[in-house]
Amino acid sequence: MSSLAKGVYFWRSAWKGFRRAPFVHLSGILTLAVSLFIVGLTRGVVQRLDALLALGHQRTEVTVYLVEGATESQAQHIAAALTRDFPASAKVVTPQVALDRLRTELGNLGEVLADLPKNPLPISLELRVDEARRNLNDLRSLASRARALPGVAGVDYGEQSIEQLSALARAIRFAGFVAFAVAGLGAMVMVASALQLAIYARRSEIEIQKLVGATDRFVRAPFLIEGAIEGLIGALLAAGGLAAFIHFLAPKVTPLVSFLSDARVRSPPLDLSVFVELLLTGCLLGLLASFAAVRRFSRA
Amino acid sequence: MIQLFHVFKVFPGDSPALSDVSLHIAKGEFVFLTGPSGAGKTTLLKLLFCAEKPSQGQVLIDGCNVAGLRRSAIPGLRRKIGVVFQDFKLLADRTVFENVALTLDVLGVPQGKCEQEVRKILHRVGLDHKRSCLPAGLSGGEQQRVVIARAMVNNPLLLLADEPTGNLDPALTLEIMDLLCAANAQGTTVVVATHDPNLLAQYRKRILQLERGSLVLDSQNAGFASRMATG
Repeated sequence: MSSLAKGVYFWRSAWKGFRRAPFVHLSGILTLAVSLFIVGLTRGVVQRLDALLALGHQRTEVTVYLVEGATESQAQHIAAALTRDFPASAKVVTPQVALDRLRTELGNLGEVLADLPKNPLPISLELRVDEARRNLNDLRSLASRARALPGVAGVDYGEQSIEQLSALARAIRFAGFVAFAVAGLGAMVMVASALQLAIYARRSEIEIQKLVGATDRFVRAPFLIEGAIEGLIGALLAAGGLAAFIHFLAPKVTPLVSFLSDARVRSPPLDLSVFVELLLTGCLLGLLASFAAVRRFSRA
Repeated sequence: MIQLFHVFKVFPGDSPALSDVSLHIAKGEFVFLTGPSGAGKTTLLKLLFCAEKPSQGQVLIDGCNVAGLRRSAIPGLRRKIGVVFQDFKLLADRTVFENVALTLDVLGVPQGKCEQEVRKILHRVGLDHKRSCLPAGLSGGEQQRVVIARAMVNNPLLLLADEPTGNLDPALTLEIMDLLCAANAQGTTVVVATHDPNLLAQYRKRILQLERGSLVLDSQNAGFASRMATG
């Protein structure tokens, strides 16, 4: 008795199942594809945010603003205190240098700065942190040490933007999870319903199979294969949809969310790991749905 | 082959379908199970192919106690039993060949061997030329022969037939009975449920008679054959 022959029989039965009720199966496949597309899209956006966050975490500079009227020697003194036991190089930026930089950054608008009665910018320190210590925790501790020193008015290392980005990533991850849960559940219900209809249509065959000695596993196997194939096709459609989205729509959408754009972050057209994850998730959802359907039928 | 010890079968809210039935059928025997409608013939057959479990008593098939059989062990036992149903139970959208091959598909018989075995059994029942037909295109007798072929294709130890000639004319009845006798001649134990007295008279085989769920007659008892002969 060959298991190969049984395997051939299962695949043949599963294929016949598709041919008998193509539209019912198609609705299941499309619902699965939509839910998996949502998963893939969320995954892509979160991946990009994570990459931006990683860049943020790798910030090289901490700017320490001194109080108004502070002198260059005071600045040198503070720089020495901060770099004594922290691997960073310090550079004093005088108010004039800061004003010149601002003028350059503003371009044509920079001319308005000439009308200022006096230079409003304070003297500041730029601390360039060594590569090994470029992480959020070390920067945070350096900043708090700087704030505690007399003569320091404020410290900036982009903490606020990093935290906002983290919160956004968390929110998108959560929204993606909720959307996937709702759409995934809907897809599973659709697939399970399609299979229950298929099982009902083949109840006479199942009855006869059982009477001639078929085990429960033998009866279930073609339906489980049908479910897995539905999941696989749904996942392939979702992957195709994602690839099309990235290729055709993403370039048009990206300028609308410019805060997510950074020349240093480049996403591949469709990450292979995302593709594999989608296929596995699709198969798993299809299998779970078909398992639920055949289990309910077996109980009946 | 078959042993029943004080078997009762009670369906809730109904009088007992079988009441204290004990019998023994040896390997290779041909037995008629007879009695009026509602006597318990079909229930007894259902116990034999594990479609029902006895409410009380023991049912042994080829040494296996059906009463204590786990659900997962039922398919194994059913593979030793061929069943011919009164209502045929043929799949309308499958050809004659596919209907017969179903038994071998379940057993995982490779396609080449399956084809060979199905052709052989269809030839035996005289339907090889109709192997590509759908059941709807066959006569009642031909459909019954397909059912017998499906039941016989894996050479079962036991063949159960529930009113196999119930809807057939005398000529077709003869054909079907010949097939069942041929299976018996090859060593298969055959149990045929029927309420047709002509069949009992024509084929001098052992008769078990049920009435209201009780076994009232076993033709193995002395004197029965002569009573049948006289009338």
